[in-house]
Amino acid sequence: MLEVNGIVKKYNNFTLSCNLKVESGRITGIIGPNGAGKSTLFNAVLGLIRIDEGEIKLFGKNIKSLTDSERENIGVVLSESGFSGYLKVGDVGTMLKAFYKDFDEADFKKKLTDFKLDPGKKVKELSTGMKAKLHVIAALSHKAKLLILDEPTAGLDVIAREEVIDMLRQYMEEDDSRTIVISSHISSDLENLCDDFYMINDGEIIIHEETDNLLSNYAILKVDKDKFDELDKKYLVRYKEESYGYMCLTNERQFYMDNYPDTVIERSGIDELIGLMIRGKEL
Amino acid sequence: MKGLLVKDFILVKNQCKTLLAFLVLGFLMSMSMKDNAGVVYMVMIISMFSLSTIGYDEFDNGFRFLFTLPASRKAYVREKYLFYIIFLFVGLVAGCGVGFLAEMFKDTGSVQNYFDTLGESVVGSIMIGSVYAGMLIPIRIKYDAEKAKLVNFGVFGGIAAIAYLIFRLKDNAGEVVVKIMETINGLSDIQIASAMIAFAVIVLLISELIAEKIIAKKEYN
Repeated sequence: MLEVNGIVKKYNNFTLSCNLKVESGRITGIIGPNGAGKSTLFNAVLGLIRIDEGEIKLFGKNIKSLTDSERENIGVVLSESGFSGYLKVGDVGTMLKAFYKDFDEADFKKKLTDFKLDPGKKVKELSTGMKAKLHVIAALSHKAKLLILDEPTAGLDVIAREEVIDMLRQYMEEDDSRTIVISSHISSDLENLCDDFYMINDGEIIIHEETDNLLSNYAILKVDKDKFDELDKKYLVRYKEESYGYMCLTNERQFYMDNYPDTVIERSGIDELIGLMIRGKEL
Repeated sequence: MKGLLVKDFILVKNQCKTLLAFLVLGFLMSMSMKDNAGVVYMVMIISMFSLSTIGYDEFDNGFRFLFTLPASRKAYVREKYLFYIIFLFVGLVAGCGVGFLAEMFKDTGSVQNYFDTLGESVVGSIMIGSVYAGMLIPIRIKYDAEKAKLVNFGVFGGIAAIAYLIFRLKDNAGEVVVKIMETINGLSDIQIASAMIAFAVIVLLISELIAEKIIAKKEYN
């Protein structure tokens, strides 16, 4: 569905350099701290910036040669950019109808009602959360095969976030060939949604892992200094000094549970993973 | 292209109060001015109004999202020129209509003067408007609204300076300028009008090619 092959994008003080492959029918999460390169990666995939090296393929074709008709198969939500603030919410539907052959007007209007979006209100008058809802609804409105969602839940409260995540799940259930690439700084949104993750930092992919593997095999070990010296470190990915000793990240939880039964071993969530991968030291 | 056109018509529709105010102002100007100056004003204002949509697209980093929709950057540029031309004709119709109405309300007792000068007003406004749009569109696509104002100021200042130099040259009996003026004076009204329209078309075509090149190089972060 989406292939990012050896792309490089250089800025004065930042370089994005990565490979990525997203299979059809999957939900792939892109995680990483602010400024890691997530939005730059999305910009590159969407052809909004020129890349210095490498190639990006969508639907098996170089993105530069995608036709308008093929681009209709992509639904996009971007952080900090969207429909013109001078359009009314209801106008967005009229506009999308003219852009997309498969635009489902009835469903779009129904979702506007469900999310209490006033069709007569201008986009610039909406709150951040309401804008986010409008953009997600719009991205889902034309039966796109691929959704590229950069921070789609930004600015939403817990209930609205759950509603959006549910909409994405339902969207995938309707057609198993559909694909989503999504970034969010709210890891719980992604943990329960994604099939796999790419973690990006300083413009490079530092982990690609299946969610099941991540949640079952990655773990946090909390040990004092003596215990740390004793530990077999071959499955430790990162470690970080703490007041009590060391916090270590492993990708072989079972190994340490079997061999160090008296050690505190906690399952690693995405937040802990990001924290240790970024701030921890490599062995 | 269809989606972009629909978007722009909606954006203009949402600003229809402003457009209506321009119509009233055009009517008042036509009432108070001679030789269809109000018609020229109307054509210029309404056609330029179409280009305000670039600012609406740009609002809140909107270009970034706009170019993820199924419309190429080339289509975006072409649509802006097409939209300008559509509004040029809307402006012509509205300008002529409002100008005629204003003439009826005047105390001159005749609309003869209106018809006598209508042709030159229409052709003049097409040429001036198109040259202006031809310069403005590439500048607006290259620069944001604030920078574009400065660049516009520089470009039009430069044009004014060149025009001044040409007229100074004429005063000093610059032979080339005099010959050009003589040639123009020797042409019929139809020939002059055709040349002006052709000039407007050429300016728009060249401008469109430049705008396409500019937008192809732009990055939207």
